[in-house]
Amino acid sequence: MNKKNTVISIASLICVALFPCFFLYLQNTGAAIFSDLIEMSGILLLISLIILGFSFLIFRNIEKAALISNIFLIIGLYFAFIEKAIVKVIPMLYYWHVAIICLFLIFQIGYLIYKKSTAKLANQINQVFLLIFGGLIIFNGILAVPKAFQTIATKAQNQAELDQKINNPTSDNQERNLPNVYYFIFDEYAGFDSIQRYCNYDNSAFYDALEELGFVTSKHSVNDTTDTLTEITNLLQLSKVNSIEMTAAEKRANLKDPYLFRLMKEHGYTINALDSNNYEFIDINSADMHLSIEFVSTYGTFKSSIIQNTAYYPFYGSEDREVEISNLLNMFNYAVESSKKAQSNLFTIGYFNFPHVPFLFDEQGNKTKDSDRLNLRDTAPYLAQFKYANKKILEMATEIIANDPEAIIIIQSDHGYRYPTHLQFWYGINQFDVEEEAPYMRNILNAVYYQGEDIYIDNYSGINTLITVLNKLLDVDLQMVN
Amino acid sequence: MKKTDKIIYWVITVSFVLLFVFANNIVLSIPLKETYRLEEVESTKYDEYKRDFEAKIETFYVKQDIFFTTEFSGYAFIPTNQASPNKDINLVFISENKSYEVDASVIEWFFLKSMFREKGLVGINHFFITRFSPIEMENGIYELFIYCYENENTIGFMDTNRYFEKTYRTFKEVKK
Repeated sequence: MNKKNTVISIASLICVALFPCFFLYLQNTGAAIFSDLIEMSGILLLISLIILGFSFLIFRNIEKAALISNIFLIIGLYFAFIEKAIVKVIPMLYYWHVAIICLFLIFQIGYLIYKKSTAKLANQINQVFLLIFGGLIIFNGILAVPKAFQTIATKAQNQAELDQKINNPTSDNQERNLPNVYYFIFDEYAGFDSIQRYCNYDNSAFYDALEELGFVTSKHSVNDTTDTLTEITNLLQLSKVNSIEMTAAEKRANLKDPYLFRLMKEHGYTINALDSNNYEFIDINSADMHLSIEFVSTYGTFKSSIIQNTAYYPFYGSEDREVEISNLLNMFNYAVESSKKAQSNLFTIGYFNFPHVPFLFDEQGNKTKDSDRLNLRDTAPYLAQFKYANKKILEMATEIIANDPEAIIIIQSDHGYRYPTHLQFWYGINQFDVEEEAPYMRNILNAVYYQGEDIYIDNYSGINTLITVLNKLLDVDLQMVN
Repeated sequence: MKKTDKIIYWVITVSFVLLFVFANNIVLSIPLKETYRLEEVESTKYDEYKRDFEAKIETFYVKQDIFFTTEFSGYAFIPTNQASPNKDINLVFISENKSYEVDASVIEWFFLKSMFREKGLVGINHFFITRFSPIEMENGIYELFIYCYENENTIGFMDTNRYFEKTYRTFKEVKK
């Protein structure tokens, strides 16, 4: 076996296998994550070696085995493009027809290589593959170098600034250490009256457990609307900048640079944000640090960008729900871990798309059936997830208080359970008089732990509760809103 | 070329050709979770049961997967004096040339009871959902009918007046 030819054969295979990963990574320097590159490269290399191993068993020649493996890989990695082209010409063909055509093509080429090709010719073709794919990797690498240096420098600078902020708060107003503050918003968590009305569920045990931990709760609090974009923006701006009549774009524009963040920063707080990437209600650019959720869905990730072009694409994505579950649980973990980050002056704010649809959990925290995932028609999936939310909220609050007893924790929802409008909007069922039901749908979760002290929030809206806490904590005089 | 090599070559080649020709049937015969298979039927199969009853298609959705998985949900019931433990709901698509039937899962849905209180609705198993691949349907425009079996004396077959066009790569609702 010629050593040089063996190296060329294997190198060509490696370049063909790794090109999609490196191309995507280098095109997205700074945004893509190195560990993604390593993971996907590892998977593709392993697949390539398995194909090479099988081919070698048949051909008993490394050059020929590498050549057919290269062809197999190219077809497999760019299958979606081949499928689109074939289907455009012959629309009656489906994925499986194209897969059979490709496999047949590989078989015919393999047969030709086996019978007609010499090792020398196979090696020459492998050299061409090596030159093309290796050359493209190097070319893209050279183009990405300046951007990579810039990204590394920026990251180092940001990290240094963040460390300094946490360890040495520098605000002019900061003359004393202020307790860490945790503010969590749970989307569509029904208030006491809301869950009672639509699910006939008495949530007293949850409120009792919160009160035992030292929370003050308000069972009958309501917000102004049932619109998340309106409510969260108003909470973060501490005034009614949004109204229900505004367009979504106008409302979203008001999410930028929230007054709450500015106020906390003025008082020496470092902002620590966690948000699910799907909605981006929290302006993480205004925060000092945030939880980075890489995989909100299989779509739009590094891995999916590569797999969507391969022959494997129809089978990819079934683990979406596992990723969603893991992201949500990571958010709870991150919230708890945040209580170990700093002794004081850390403001952790989190938006949880929970127990809002998708219904991922039953009440024990097990994965739900596929048919329940988006089932807004029945109350059972919501109630099950709601009960699991109770468990996770209590666990989180208990651990934060254990780690940080001087903390201030505000737990709210943006609105209650919107069952009547779900029926009307999604299923065209006018089961309820929506106007009459509005107070129940606007009934929110509203609970405050102020170092175990009493604080009056009874019947306050979310925004007025927040203002009450901030006035007491920061010794400011924010006006309550009507 | 050795004789055995030739035989292997032709066996594999012919296998590919056969696989290609019967690919749709082979793939669609794989049982998929929560998915039914269409069955070709005579367009007159349920003519004797033609009557109006309460039925509605509530959702229609085509998933962008390789099977173009199509989901219909809704409700159907014929008033009866007693509950229908053996209730059966099928969707039937009828075009000028071909007709297909697909089974549906009957689901208990409590709120229908209050929606149709005045009609004396008995039981709560009147909701249905079905998923199937329309790939094996012949291209054309189909009218959707609902077959509803409550018990052996109460059976109905109703035109929904909704039309669906099947092409090689789409299955969509159309106006007629």
